[in-house]
Amino acid sequence: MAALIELDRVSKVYPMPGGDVHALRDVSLSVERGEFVSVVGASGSGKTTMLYLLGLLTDPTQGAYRLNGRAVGRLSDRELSAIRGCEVGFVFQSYHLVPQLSVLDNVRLAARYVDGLNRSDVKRRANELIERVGLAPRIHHRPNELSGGEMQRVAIARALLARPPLILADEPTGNLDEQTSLQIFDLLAGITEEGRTVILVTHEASLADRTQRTIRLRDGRVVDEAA
Amino acid sequence: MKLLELSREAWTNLLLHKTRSSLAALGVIFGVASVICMLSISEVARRDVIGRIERLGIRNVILDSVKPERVRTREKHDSDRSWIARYGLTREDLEVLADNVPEIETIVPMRIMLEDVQANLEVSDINVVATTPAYTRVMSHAVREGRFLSEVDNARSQPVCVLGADAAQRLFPLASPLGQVVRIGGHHFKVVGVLERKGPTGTAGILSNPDNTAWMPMNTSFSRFGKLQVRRRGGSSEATEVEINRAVVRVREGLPLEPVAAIARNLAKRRHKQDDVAVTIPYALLKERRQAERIFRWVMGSLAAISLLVGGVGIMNIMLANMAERRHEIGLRRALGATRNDILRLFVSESTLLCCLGGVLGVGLGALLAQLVGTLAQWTVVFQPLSFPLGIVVSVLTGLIFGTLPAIKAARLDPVLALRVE
Repeated sequence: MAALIELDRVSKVYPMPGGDVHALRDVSLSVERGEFVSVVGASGSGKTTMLYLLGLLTDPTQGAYRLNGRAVGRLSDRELSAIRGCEVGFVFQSYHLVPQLSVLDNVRLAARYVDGLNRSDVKRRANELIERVGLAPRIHHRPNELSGGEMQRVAIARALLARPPLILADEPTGNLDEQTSLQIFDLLAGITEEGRTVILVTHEASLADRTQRTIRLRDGRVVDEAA
Repeated sequence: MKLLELSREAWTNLLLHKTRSSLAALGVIFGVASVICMLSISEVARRDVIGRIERLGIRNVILDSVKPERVRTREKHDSDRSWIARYGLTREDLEVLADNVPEIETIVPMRIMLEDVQANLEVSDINVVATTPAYTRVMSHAVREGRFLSEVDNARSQPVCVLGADAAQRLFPLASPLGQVVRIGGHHFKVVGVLERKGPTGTAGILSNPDNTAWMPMNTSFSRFGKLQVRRRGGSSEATEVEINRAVVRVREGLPLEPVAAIARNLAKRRHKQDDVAVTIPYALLKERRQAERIFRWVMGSLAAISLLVGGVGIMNIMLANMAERRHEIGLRRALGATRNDILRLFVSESTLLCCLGGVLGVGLGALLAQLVGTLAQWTVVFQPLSFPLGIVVSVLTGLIFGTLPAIKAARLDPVLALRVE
């Protein structure tokens, strides 16, 4: 069975007025289903670019990317969006919850652009996930009534709603205290036990050390891979 | 289903920013309201003026006696410190005109009598006009009760009169006026008929209000009251000798009006030493009015377009600000699987829904304002039937047009940049 993620000599260049910025250079990578991978590196090393590239939010300037066995390099915006909705879940450092929506509606928002989902199934699944992340008593609260850790748990529930095989977490513990960080980390680790792949971008070496594999980036290149 | 879901989502988003949405909609509300109000007012004015002109008859040429700036004949009158003003059309003028112009079918003379009308000893503010039996036919003024003045009435100078609808109501509010006697300038006149309500004709003067008039035979007016008429004001009096105030010349069917009007002008110029006859062709007036109306509509249309443009620019600004504020949400929706078109549709549906609501409220407000103006000005409010749906369609189009640019910007936003936290 093919790996979930296969990057083959992928580069990403941002043209800027002051000259091109090479965010990623010749990155080749393979990630299996169920793996918990961390990506570390200094600021500007290309971690977030790699994450967004893996999540089909941006396309490679060069190289090939296969997600779930399918080459995604030449797909249309519509096709990429459909894959993103079904096969990728995002968890962001600053949560990106819609402030006017309740916890339940924020989680259900993940089904808004996915075709073929049954409305009642979505609601049941959203309720299950909210309970799983321990926020059942807060289901009708707005984001501004939640703590940072709670908001991140809502974001994780949202990322899981469409049952995507790939979860991309961009410094999800960056705004949290140590104890809450560990709780969030444990939640993410639990996801991999369901056979989902989690790629975690982090600055915290202690968390990276606890993942199955760590990829270290410097100036857009993979300089080290440690299992 | 998708449209319904999109509308519901747009509605929810608009509700999330109530103040901003309301402010954005205000431009459209006032724009559409002013359009509806102006359309209604202009329609009332248009119908009024065109109705007046049409009631003068489109096959008629109107000759009016007008007081020249310097009245030619001035004589000392009795012992009063007053003068006799002699001017205008005479019966002889009309005879010459009828004899020499075969295109003329009939001429209806009208003479304003400066006399009071009394019934049951009460003086009423009713106009008195002398005319001939052809009046009802030429002016298309139907008889409601009894009959109009006959050739016999005129030939024998009978003391009979016919009342306009308002005059009849004012003089005899409780009983039928037929057979009743009214006093006109001290003489007794028997009421032989009542006319249907006609509405105002022409633009000004006593002759423009046929409903508040008592009509007597032309010959009776001369035999009972003579040629001279005296109006007393304070200590002095003003005497005028105007035989005919207005003559309505009916031209035979299918023949042009302008040559008849030209002959009438020449005749008046030749027979009178002063410029005291005005010739009007209602049909030409109507054409002029329609031309003016077209220009007026263009002006109104431009004003409406400008007000909606202002409203549209307001919507565009608000939607641009909205887009900037919801940058993260746009990025998030893209991350959750929204296509560029989904984002475009979301923003366009919000601006369109906003403008549609603004349009509906604007139509309501416009109708209310027009009604208010109508009540204050005491006229019957008329709405152009298409103005309501037009107002809403135009506001929806405003939302579509002015919402598209911000929506395109939102759709083209790079999700990576949109998700970046500064």
